[in-house]
Amino acid sequence: MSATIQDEFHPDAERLNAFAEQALGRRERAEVLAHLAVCSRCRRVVTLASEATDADVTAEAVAPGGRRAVVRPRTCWRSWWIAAAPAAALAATAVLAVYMHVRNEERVAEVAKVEPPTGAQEPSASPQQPAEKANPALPAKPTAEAKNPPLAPAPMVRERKTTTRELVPHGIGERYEVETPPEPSDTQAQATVNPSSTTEVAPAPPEGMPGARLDYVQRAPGAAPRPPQGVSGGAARHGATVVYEAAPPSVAAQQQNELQQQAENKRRSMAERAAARDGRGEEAQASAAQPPAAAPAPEPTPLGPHPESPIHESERNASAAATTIHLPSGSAAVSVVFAGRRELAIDDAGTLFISEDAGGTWERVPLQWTGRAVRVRRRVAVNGAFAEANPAQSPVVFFELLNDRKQVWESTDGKTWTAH
Amino acid sequence: MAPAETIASAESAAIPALPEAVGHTVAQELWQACDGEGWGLTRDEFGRILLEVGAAWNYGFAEDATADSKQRAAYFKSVCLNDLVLARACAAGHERAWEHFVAVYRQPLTRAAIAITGSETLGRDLADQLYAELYGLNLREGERHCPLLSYRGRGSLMGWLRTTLAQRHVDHHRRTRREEPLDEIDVQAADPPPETPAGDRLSLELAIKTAVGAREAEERFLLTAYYLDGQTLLQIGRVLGVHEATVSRKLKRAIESIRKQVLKNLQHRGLSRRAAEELMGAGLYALGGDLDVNLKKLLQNSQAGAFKERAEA
Repeated sequence: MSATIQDEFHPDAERLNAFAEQALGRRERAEVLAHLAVCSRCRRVVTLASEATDADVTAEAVAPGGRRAVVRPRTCWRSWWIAAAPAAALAATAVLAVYMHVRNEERVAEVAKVEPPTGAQEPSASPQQPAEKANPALPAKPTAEAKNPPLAPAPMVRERKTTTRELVPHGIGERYEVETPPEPSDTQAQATVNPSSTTEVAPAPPEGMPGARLDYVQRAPGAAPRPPQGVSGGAARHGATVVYEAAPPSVAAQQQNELQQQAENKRRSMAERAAARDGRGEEAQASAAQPPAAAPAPEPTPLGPHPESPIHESERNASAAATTIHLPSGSAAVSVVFAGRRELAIDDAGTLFISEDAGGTWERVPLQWTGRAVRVRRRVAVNGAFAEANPAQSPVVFFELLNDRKQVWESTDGKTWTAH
Repeated sequence: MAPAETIASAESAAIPALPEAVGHTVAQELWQACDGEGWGLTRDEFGRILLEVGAAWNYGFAEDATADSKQRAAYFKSVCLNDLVLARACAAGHERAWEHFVAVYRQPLTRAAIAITGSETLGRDLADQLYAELYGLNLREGERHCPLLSYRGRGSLMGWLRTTLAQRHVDHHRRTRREEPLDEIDVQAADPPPETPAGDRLSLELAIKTAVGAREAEERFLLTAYYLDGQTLLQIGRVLGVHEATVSRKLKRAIESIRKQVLKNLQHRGLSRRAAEELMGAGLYALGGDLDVNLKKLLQNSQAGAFKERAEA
């Protein structure tokens, strides 16, 4: 081979450039290579062109494939796309953080749902309430009210000024508060809640309340997130302040076993208890040392109490109704329960009142218990036993009264009470 | 500047429409992929240009082959449509296209010329000369001729411009080098070649030519670029689009193959293996042309392997 022998016809610039840019097919590339092997002139051309490309690359960006990146006014706009990926990642992180935050609140609400020794540990997700589970702002179905086991004497309710709806965990032994602000229409007997205050954490459980438990206190006033099914009237118009109190872990662990044993039975009885309940949401409970607030309530937000919390929807609305109850004592009602048109209410002095006309008139119930009554609730039983024992039998509604020592009295008519 | 000719040349009138050649869908895709409308190009003109370009290259196939519609479509999709349309618009004298061309390509053109010539003055002169030609200042048979018409979009327009600059620079250099006075050429005298019998020299020359000629085009290019032009592995790798280590491996493999083939060829001519190896080691100076010294070096580098191979035998 002699390099001095060259083809008379050199490849044109188009073909040489396509060769240098790897744009030729195998056949054409072999042809050019065969020519380059014998043509020093074309080898030199290709080499110089490639060197010029490298020199140009250092001065100006070259797009892949040898295409030169055309500088256009939208280059700046394009640069934003470079930041799109990290921006999207940041947004996804933010969404994830919010999601985790909401989930955390739900979990806290579920933890707070665990009842003291007599309470049953509720299932985390009821198959009958998927929508409510997804939306914490939705109220629990009325069937949830029967989940509450008999309670020991209710904890003492501490006065607290909270208006935020945020449920913030502060550690075991501390309180978690969620308050739904009162509605604007609820202006009666509500004067102490400061709407501007925020979530407040009680440093320690109040006296008289065993700390070794997870308990909640529902206080009036406050706007219920939404009236439950079958609840009508004033119960749904008013909010409630819910105070979650976390118990120390040791006692909570002891209660956990008991609650778990009862949880399964409670779940089975839910459907029957729902059938036994009347349309209003019979049970209501409100425990609060704080008198009803008169501040107007904004719209409920999804950060309200968990729908499956021990505060059943009927209780919430009943407690909301307590804000409008005018007891003969002149004090605010701290715990109210419905059973048909019969209503029971306890004022903050511990006096029990009964109404047979849906709160129209109230009559004081003579003292038949010891201590100070702090809570009244409705229970359902079948032949003296709880409904879950024999769901086929017709349920019997009765009331339970809890004093500040967690002692329980029972009554079927609300007037005659016997120790449990 | 007045357009000297239409964007689609008159000869393309006989070419069928683009949709007939590649289908309506592909034709629509190609039209949407280019900026032809921005440069005042109609869809028919664009189709004629594409078909003309494809016919000029026979769609990348051999001359006797015929491309079907899919192959034509694949070829058109590999064409740099934007650059092709811009080049044709500039060749047609479209003002806005020229403005765009100047804004985008003028400075890179100058930089490339400077890089090619190695001199700013020469580079600017070279770039200005090409730019004037591109603008159509040169007349051929009374008509303005724009070199951009020869661009057919196989590679990028910028690459085509660089290659064109390199061609002009090399041609200019080769012309002017012949005019250099002899006293400026400082060529060192080569070592006197050892005495080699004429028959052996001829046998060796033929053996080497046969061995090298049997190699693939890429290996021959590697050998000539590395040993004759003295290009570095990096330079060769850039041209071939491979890493320099790959070039090194290919070179080594080619040398070994050629050495073995030369030995075989010499033995076929009646030489013993020992005599053939001695001839390869000592008689290469007698080979005429540009290859002799480099091939001596090439084959000498393979001596160690040869001796090792012989010891094993």
